[in-house]
Amino acid sequence: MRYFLSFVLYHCAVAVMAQSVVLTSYRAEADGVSELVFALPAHTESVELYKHQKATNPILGQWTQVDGKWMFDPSLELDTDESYALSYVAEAKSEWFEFKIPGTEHTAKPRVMGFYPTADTLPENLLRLYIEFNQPMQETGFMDQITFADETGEDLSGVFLPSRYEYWNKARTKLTLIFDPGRVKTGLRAHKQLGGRALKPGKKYTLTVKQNWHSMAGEGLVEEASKTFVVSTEDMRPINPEHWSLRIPECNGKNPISIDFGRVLDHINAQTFIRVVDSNGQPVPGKTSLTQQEAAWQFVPDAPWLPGDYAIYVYKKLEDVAGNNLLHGFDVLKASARAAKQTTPYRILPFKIN
Amino acid sequence: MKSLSKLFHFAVLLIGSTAIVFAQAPESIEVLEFGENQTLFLADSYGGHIYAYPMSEPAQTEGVSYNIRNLDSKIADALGTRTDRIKIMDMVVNPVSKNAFIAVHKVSKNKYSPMLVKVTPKGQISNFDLKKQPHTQFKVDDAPATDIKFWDRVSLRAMTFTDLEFHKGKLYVAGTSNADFDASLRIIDYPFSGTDFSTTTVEIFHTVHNQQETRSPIQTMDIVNINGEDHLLAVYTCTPLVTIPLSSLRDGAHINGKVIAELGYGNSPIDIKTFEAQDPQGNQQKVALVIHTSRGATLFNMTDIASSNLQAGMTEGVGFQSAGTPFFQPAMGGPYQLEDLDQGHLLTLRRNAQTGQSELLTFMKGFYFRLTDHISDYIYPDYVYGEEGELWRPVQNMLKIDEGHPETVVEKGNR
Repeated sequence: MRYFLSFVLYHCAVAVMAQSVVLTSYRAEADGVSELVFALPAHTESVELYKHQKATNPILGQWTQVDGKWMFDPSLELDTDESYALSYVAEAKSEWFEFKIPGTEHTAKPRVMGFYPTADTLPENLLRLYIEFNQPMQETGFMDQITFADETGEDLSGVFLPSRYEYWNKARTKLTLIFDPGRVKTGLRAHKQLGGRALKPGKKYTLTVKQNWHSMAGEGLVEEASKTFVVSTEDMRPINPEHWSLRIPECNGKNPISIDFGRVLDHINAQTFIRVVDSNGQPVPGKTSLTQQEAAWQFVPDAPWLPGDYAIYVYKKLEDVAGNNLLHGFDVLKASARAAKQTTPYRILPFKIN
Repeated sequence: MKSLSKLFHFAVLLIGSTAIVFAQAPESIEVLEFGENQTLFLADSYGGHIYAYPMSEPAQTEGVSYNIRNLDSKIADALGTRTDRIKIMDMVVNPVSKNAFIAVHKVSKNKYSPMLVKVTPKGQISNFDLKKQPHTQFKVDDAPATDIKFWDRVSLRAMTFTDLEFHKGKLYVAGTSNADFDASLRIIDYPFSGTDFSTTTVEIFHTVHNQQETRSPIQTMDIVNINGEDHLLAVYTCTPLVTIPLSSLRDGAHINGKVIAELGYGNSPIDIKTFEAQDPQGNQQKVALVIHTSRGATLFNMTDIASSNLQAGMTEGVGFQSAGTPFFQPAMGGPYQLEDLDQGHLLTLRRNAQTGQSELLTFMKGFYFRLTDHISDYIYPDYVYGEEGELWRPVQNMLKIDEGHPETVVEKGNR
């Protein structure tokens, strides 16, 4: 399965030339830079971004105004180590602001940006942990690069599914660690022989990423990183959207639509398998984000809402952190799982914007 | 409720299509082609999919001309990058709006990013969002299973699709497959439904290589009626011109294309287009124009192709000569994309032989040359059209206006 999410790094950039304009932040991904945010004079009427001052066409992309700042999202990520020219009109005066986006290789040292799930308490039948880096990393055998221990310090890193393949995203910035499903699932040989699940309720565990893990550019991590969490009892409940609380926005704006799941979902699943569509069944362009430690989801449309019928499509294989989905719990018997497969793969939640 | 039933319809479509949910977009763009009702077809060789994007652009009813210089710089500027980081893959014209759609691969550190830009006759460039624009897609599950790199740079995978044509509700797709014979012609019904398609494998006698060939695919083709029957008129590398009756294309069949002309050794064809045109004497004729990597353009009269097709195909090597159906070589140097724009014009993307720049330019059908490419006696300020020259004055005036230089028009007897 391919995940399209790649890890994101927010840079704080420094104004280079004109004092009245500042490139305040941008989003750096493996292939370049997007979501450039500019602070411009208060009375700025219009703005365009060009490759250089003599270019006849502006760079393709979309401008939006957020909290008094101007954000440009290019159709294709912009190259780093290149200069650009911003043209803006303020108080009927046309001005240029030239700037350069520095290459990430010169600015960022490799580091762990975070772990998923972000919650501090996770169920004993937790299925996956993710480590997120700020740049593409080398694949040198993740088992040598991590430790996983309980409070006594005993190394438990054998609990992760041993595999010839490492589960990296395409950009090689995110690694998935899978707890051996044979032990997570009850009734299987591995579960019985190895003394049940690896995680015990009430205990505390720490995943540590060692400093000598190297980036594709050949540099070691700036520092060691770790995540500690407490284990709660198992969660075997299928996901039931009827228990979700939906907040539908007013019309005439870009207010978010949000869902409170009431439980922590797998972050990649939650960003991939929930979509907003219009009355023609076409996806509504917009941005999805997760809040409350992946227990809530929100969607902000690119264009203001129009009155009408919409729906949220939820792919029934949407999983929580323990692999439970809309059809069944992770631990369910095969026969009922097969029966559930016969139905349509989506749950449709219609809603109306007035 | 109408809206909900539409939603349900959408859900059914999703169930019927590929595994990953929601909007899928091409991984690469090798071929573009317009079908009827402004439907743009896009062939993605690396992803093994054909995409269809219906559009509804306003009609352009008057003749238009394109005179855009430095097109690659303009596209690079619009993508915020440099010309050495873009690669132009294909160009088509929306037959209704007459806007050009150009597929570009942008090279970045880790990958090629495909993008489709729209260029208007006035040179405005905009993005056609391949992810967000409504589309359907069809997976071709016999794309080459293993990849081979030719000359360290051309991937066999990139030749999964080499050309496609839409004709009477069907897409004819040339390329390579993982079948025993690599060169294949696939036929896919449109609108897309189900997963079935038909594959015919094709071989030809290669008139320069003096051997039967099964692997190299058709590089470019058009569908045309020859002697009352619909045919593929196809061109292969190094450079046989071949006819294949559409009626012979059946799933699982293996067929022999009929070679009717050899256009010359050491060359790859880029595009073939058939269209109606008036010759400079005012005679209406149907012609086929081929542009090439290593030779000047070749123009065929369809009546010559029809009479060649009545004879047996060529089965003997011709060495380094051209042979078969006679052709004319029009004055079109350096084109690397060719489209039939409107009644009076062809649209080309060409590399200017003197400056190296890429240019999006129209050629007037019938003349097949651009007056403004050349410095001749005619254009000196003190030139006076004599009796012979007077014949050409109105023609040159027409070309001057068409090529964007109306200020140089010369009225009769008035310099």
